[in-house]
This record gives sequence, structure tokens and C-alpha cells, in this order.
Amino acid sequence: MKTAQTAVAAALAEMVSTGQVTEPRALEIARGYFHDNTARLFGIELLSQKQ
Amino acid sequence: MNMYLRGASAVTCLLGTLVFSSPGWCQARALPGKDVAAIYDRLLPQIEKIPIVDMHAHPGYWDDTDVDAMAVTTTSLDPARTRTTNPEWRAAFKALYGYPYSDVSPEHLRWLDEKDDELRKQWGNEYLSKMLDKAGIQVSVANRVAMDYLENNPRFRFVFFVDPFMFPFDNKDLTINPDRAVFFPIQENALHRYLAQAGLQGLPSDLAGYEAAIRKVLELDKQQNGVAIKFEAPYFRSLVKITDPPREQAEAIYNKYRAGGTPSADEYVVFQDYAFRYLIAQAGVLHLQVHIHSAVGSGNYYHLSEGNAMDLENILRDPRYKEITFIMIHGGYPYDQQAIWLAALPNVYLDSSEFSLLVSPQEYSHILQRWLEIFPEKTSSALMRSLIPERSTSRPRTGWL
Repeated sequence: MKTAQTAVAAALAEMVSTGQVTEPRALEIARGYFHDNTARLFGIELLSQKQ
Repeated sequence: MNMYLRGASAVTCLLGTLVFSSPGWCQARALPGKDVAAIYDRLLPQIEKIPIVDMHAHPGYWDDTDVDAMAVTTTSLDPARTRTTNPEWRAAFKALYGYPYSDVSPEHLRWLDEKDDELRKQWGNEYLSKMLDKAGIQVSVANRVAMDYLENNPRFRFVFFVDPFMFPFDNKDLTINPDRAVFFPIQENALHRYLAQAGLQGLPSDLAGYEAAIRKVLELDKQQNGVAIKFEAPYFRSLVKITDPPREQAEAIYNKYRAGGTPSADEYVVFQDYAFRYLIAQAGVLHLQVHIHSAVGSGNYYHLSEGNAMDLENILRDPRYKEITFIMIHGGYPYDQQAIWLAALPNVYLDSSEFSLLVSPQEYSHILQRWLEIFPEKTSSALMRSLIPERSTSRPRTGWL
């Protein structure tokens, strides 16, 4: 879990820094990776629906 | 040049012109800037707050054999991160158990076992849910033979193993190495349990009866919060060139060997291929997902070249299965760069379980960056294994890492 969190932060930081995505979009991707992409498959409420 | 490429070229030219002529636009760069560390520092605390839906786990007590339908056999040389020499384990033990030591000597690992026993007694039925809380996991997808004490626990979803249905005959010719000599008795035992679950004492007299038993077990497991069937197939056979045999051919083999006798290698593979596809089709009927181990595996005799996710293209791209959701467990690693292109299919997803045990955070980030740049909505996190350290081994595992 800790490894995954730091890995995702590092990957997304590079994507933001190189101009591929904005920071808000990076966090949206992270929420998808850790929660929403899988939650959608299992009918669990999405974080994006809670906001 | 086809129309699509002509159109794409025109758009590319236009985009290039706009990018380089409009001061308000910026072209993505190949190298990160000096701000990358500051961005990382801003993102990480927010990422740490995201509750996790864990796509692939084997939760259970340390002495529960139902956490898998096989056994993790001895590997002569474990990846460096999984060894007790990895200092990160101490941090994991401290976070989960309050581990007070700065080493992982056998004596201190015994303290860990005793602490684990103490918590299990103290927390009772809440033990695993509390472990999920400690790790920030909202829901865990439990790969198990049966849910047992996890049944009706809303924190878990059930993924059940179906490989045993591919091996109903005499398996002695399949035990070609020490690993498979361990695996096949476990598979046979699981098949007997499944048949009993369907109300049978042994194999039905014909293939139709066997298929009915498969359907019955899938239906019953779905009723127990089941969400997917799981194949660990490359531990038992190759994924290369899975064929599409006619039912009549499988039926003839079933009739010939149901009551005894050893099928030839060719005959048995035909039956396995038929059963593999039958199980996928029935998962589709019941709206169950299909999870497939298709990556590196444990043990000295696992054939990596026979467990490559890319060998499943003929299955994944079969139009009959286009409504069925497939999850490539462990993301095809170490063929992850190719595997991400399987996720171009609307019904195929990649799970990244075990990455945290196999590779460094830096390499993990490289793999993920490639994935997230291409199909970010088709990837998922997973912690693999249980949150409980394995005992009687020098290789603890925990989802904390």
C-alpha cells in the first residue's frame, strides 16, 4: 500500500511536471486507480459521486 | 494511407501549428521540470487519504488453507524485497502490530506471531475488518476457496477458484515436477468439495451432468457475494494456444475417462480447453467477472513463458466474450508494457497486485506511469495476499508494503 501510494504519486508528479495532465486531473486518476476504477466494477459508490 | 490516418495526420499538423504558434498552449515535455519533487510532495498526502478498493487479495487467518486453491511452493531465490532483509518490513510490522524491535530475528518474529494471536483473540470476528482499517482499505476482493467466516462481511467480495473443474480425471501424468505434485492433490480436493457443494458424491455420469454441477457451484458462490471466477491456470498448464474444441470432442473424452484411466496429454488438453471456455461462458451468463493469473508466478517450476497475458488474446478478443469483464491479475508482469494494450478492449482491465512485493517504488512508478498515460481508467490497485504475516517461513508478507 505504501509502495503503491508513493509510486502513484511519483508517476503522476512526472506527468504533471511534463505537462501531460493538470494536478486536479492527476488526483482524479489516483482516485480512479485506488478506488473508482474497481468500485465501478463492483457497484460500490464512487468517490467522484460523493463530491 | 487510409482515411483514418489521413485525418489523424491533418489533425497532428494542425495541433503542431497551434502548439508552436500560440503562447498560451504548451506541448508536453519529455523531461520533468525542477518542480517535480514539489508536485510529488503536494500529491502524496492527498493520495494517502484515498480509501482503497483492493482488487486482488487472499485475506484470512494465517492457518486458513482456504485462502488459495494451491500452495505457495518453495522458490530457491525470492525477490529481494520479499526477504526479511528488506527494512521496510519492520515499518510494516510496527504500523500494523506495534512491533517494538529494530530487527527481524527469529525470536522477535515469534513476538509478532504471538501479538497476532492476541489480536485475533481480542478482536474476534472483527479481526480482518480492523486490519483493513489499519491499511486504509474500504473493500477487499477476497480470492478464496470458500468464504467461511468472511461470509456476509460487507467489507469483502468473493472471488472463487474454478481451475479444479478443468482437471476431473486422473492427474498423475500432469504432476511433472515437484510444484505440480503439491498442486494437483489440492486441486482434486477442491473439486471434491465443489461437487459436494452441488450435491454430488463423485463425477456425474455424463458431461451434461458435469456442466450442470459447474453451473450450480457458480450460482451458489454468486449468492455468497461472489463477483468473479478465478483462474490460476498457468500454475497447472500453459496458456499458450487455448483451443476451441467442439462439445462432442470434450464429451467423448469425459465419457472415456470419467470412471478411470489416464487421458493422453493431447486428450486432456482438449478437455481443459473446453472446460476453460465453458467456465468463461457461464460466468458471462451469471454476470460474473473472470480473473486470470497471467504473470510471473511462485515456485521453481512455474513457466513464465506459458503464463503470459498476451497468450490470452484469442480469448479476450473472442467476440462471444465481449460482454464479460476480464481482469488480468498481476498486470501481465513482467510483460506489463505489452499487457496494457489488452486494456484497449472495453471489457479488459489490469490489476497491479504484487508489484509492491516484486519491484522498488521507483520501478513501480515507471510501470504505472506507462499504464496511466495510456489507459488510466483501466488499471486498479491491489495489495495481494493477506495482511497477516506468513508463519513458519522467513518470508513475511503484508499488504502494508
